[in-house]
Amino acid sequence: MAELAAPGVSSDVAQGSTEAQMVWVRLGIAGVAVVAVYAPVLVGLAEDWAAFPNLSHGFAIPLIAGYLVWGRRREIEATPIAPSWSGLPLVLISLGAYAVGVLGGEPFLARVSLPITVLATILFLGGAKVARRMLLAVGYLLFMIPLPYVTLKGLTDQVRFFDATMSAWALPWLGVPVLQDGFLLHLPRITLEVADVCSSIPAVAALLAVGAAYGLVNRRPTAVCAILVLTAVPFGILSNIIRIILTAAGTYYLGPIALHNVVHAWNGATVFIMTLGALIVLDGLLMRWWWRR
Amino acid sequence: MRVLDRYLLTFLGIVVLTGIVVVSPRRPDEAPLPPMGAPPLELHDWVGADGAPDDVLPIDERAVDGFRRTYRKQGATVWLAVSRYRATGPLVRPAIKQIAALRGASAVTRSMLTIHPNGVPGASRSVGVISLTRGGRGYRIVYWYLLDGDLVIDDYALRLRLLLDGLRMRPRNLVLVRVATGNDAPAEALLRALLRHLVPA
Repeated sequence: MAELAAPGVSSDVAQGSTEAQMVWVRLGIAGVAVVAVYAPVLVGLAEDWAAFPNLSHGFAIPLIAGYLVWGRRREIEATPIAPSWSGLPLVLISLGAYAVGVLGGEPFLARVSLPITVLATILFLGGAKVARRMLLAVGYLLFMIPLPYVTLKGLTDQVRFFDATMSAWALPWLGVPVLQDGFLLHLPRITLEVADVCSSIPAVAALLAVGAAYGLVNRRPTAVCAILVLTAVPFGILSNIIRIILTAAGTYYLGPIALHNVVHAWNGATVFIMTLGALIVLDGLLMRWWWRR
Repeated sequence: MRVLDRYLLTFLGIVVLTGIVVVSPRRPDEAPLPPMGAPPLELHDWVGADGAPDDVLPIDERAVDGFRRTYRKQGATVWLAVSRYRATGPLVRPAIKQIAALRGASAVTRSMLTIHPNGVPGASRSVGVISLTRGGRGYRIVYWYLLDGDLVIDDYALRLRLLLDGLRMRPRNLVLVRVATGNDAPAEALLRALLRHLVPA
């Protein structure tokens, strides 16, 4: 037998439920509008993720951001919705930046404005408290945006040079004579080039995203999260240098066959696995330290 | 609570306005560019030949076209590279430092040089200079951008001008000119003399 509720309670509950549905309908309409107006940017991003293996982690970012929202759904549902005009300036700025980016031929500006527009929309239609709850998930979307070509190319070249220099420094310790000339490593019978795809930089963007996802999904304390994100960069660079050294040493001792092994051919996956392993070990150590405090 | 309240209506109004601004057709057709002008092979006392070392003056992959020359005079060698970019749409922002580093050179310093172009008494133009090393050798690259004839040397000023051109819907095509010398560089006066013929007044 159903329990009878006191008069007025059921109608309040029903009204609250309807209001909650209204809120989500409104946010859904706004979300569809944002997706529609950003369609050219989203298509361009998806094309870049598909075209460049180093950017392919972009496909996973919206899914992880969605998972972060889903994981916090109870807290978000419990947060009162209070639309706020204070979100309007941010809406105007972000959509203005989008228009300037498209018309001025600055795709990075147009792309970066997308997560800001999403946050501004939540702030405007949902209020500051809801926006605060969703800040991490929306901020995480920044990882899906590739750096501008000029910046990425410049960083890639600098880190290629650094990778080559560190490898040339370490190889004699393994008994491998080497002469470095820019990105080239001259070994006795072969010359190896630390090419664009061998640079640590393209992997670092993905590894930053992995470090952040690892910390956020596991709900690590903010300090631990920050350490995991920041250490993903040196771990990624170090893993890549170790991979280059092993490839060069293998080529010297075994011949060009070493260039066709899994460690070299699957360079992105190799660096990714090495870095993820290092992050997991570091996370274990950090959490042990955290609980002992 | 209504679905369409003033907040949502305001938001949708702004989004629709943005969509109209962004989507409205404004891009000029990608018409073929006119043939590139090039300085003569014999430039006063300098004798030129086609081609220049790719590792010193690489041409950026985003350039539409370009050419390289080697000029010689009194035993001195100077290399010239001219590359052209479309100023419409994305991926047309060359940056001298990145282009210089394409073949493994490490950028060392950037500076400026004042040139008095030929034919215009009293006129002076500043051009950029980037010094870099590659394989233990030092090179000096004098460069400038031309935006339909307007000379620009700062990368960020160039980006800003391209952005403003885009907003005004008046895209201009872009040319990057580089003049390089190696360790066997001519004396400063010789180099300046050649630059006076190349730098627009």
